[in-house]
Amino acid sequence: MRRSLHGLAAALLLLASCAPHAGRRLPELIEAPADGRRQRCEAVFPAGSWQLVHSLEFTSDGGFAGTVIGVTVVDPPDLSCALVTVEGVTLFEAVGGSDEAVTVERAVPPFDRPGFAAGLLADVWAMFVAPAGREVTFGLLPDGHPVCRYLAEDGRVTDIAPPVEDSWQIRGYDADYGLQRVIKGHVDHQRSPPEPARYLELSAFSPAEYTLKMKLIDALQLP
Amino acid sequence: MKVLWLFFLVVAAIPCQSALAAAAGGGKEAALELRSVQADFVQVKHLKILARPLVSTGTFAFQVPQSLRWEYLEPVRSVLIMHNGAVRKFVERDGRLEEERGAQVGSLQIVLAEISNWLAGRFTDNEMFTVSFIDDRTIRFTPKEQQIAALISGIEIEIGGENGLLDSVLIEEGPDSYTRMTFSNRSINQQLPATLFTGP
Repeated sequence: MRRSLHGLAAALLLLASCAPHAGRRLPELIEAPADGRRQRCEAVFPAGSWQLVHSLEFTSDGGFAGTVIGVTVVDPPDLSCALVTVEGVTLFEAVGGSDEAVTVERAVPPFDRPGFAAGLLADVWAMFVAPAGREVTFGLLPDGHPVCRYLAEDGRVTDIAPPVEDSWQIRGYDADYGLQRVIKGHVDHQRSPPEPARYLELSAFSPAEYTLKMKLIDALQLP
Repeated sequence: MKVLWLFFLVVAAIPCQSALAAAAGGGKEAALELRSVQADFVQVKHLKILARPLVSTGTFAFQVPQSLRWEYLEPVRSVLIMHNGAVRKFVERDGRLEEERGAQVGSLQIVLAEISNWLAGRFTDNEMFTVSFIDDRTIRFTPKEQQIAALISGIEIEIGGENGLLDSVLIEEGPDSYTRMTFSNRSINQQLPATLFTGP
């Protein structure tokens, strides 16, 4: 169990320190009209305030694997998250804001390591909150898929490919244009009004690789 | 490992309702001889950030001297089994149960000693918890060890109904964070197959 917890912590710690990886570079965009694409791109994020509960399966390249329950409360501009064992023991609980400040309410070792809270919140932020206040361009990837490209002040880049059939994709690059992570989401168009993605998969790259598979257990829209 | 260890301590308290009832009564009543117990449970987890609590359901089975199966059915299936001193845990991944590795035998031996103590009704001899009888239905366990106290602030076991059967367990992590397990469909002293405790 402790090995699994350390594996999860080690895997999630990487999200704050990913480096560029050869072959995973930011592609050039082919110019294309916007055609209201920004709205479609940002529709991949839950609109309004939500409480989301996922089963979270993690796998790292070190062979660590495990399953916990992830709790996320998206209440812009705040975002809270918690990791709970299947048996109900709270491993980690924290609140973050748009200023990237993080308040840790609870962190059981090894989740109390420096950098873990900020890294986890940044990852959760990337999954559930649209990049705000950034320069946005539109275009086509070399394979023809349309994307919205968000450029942050610090040079990081986020490409959002809006839903095609029932899936969408977010690709995050560092300031050197190296791919940091890919988030794939699957939505259920049968639901009305639409709910947050029923399945999310986050793949992180370099210096080690890890994957988070998140199945939506419960979604509650908050007032 | 502390997390799993702590969980076993909580689970270990559950089959001992007969001894607990006797202890709560001042030890004057003889404890009912407990050979096995099975029950369903609903676990409701509250956190400060949650508007709606997390609800899990499952079943457990215990058989003397030291066989235990603790199974969650929803929302994430997992099975925790203990038999002949060995502990195994299985959790659903990619739609099937996979064994999680890394349980420490040393810590578990201590837990098993605690189980034996509680089954024998020796609540006041507990080295890990301070035990207090709040009323004739409620016993509170307060951690003595700092490492456990960092995880939980206390456990309350409540008995009720006929024969002193266990009603609920409250695990407190902090002022706004706690878990309550409520039990139903209890079955006492039925013959349980050994396979229940040897694999998922």
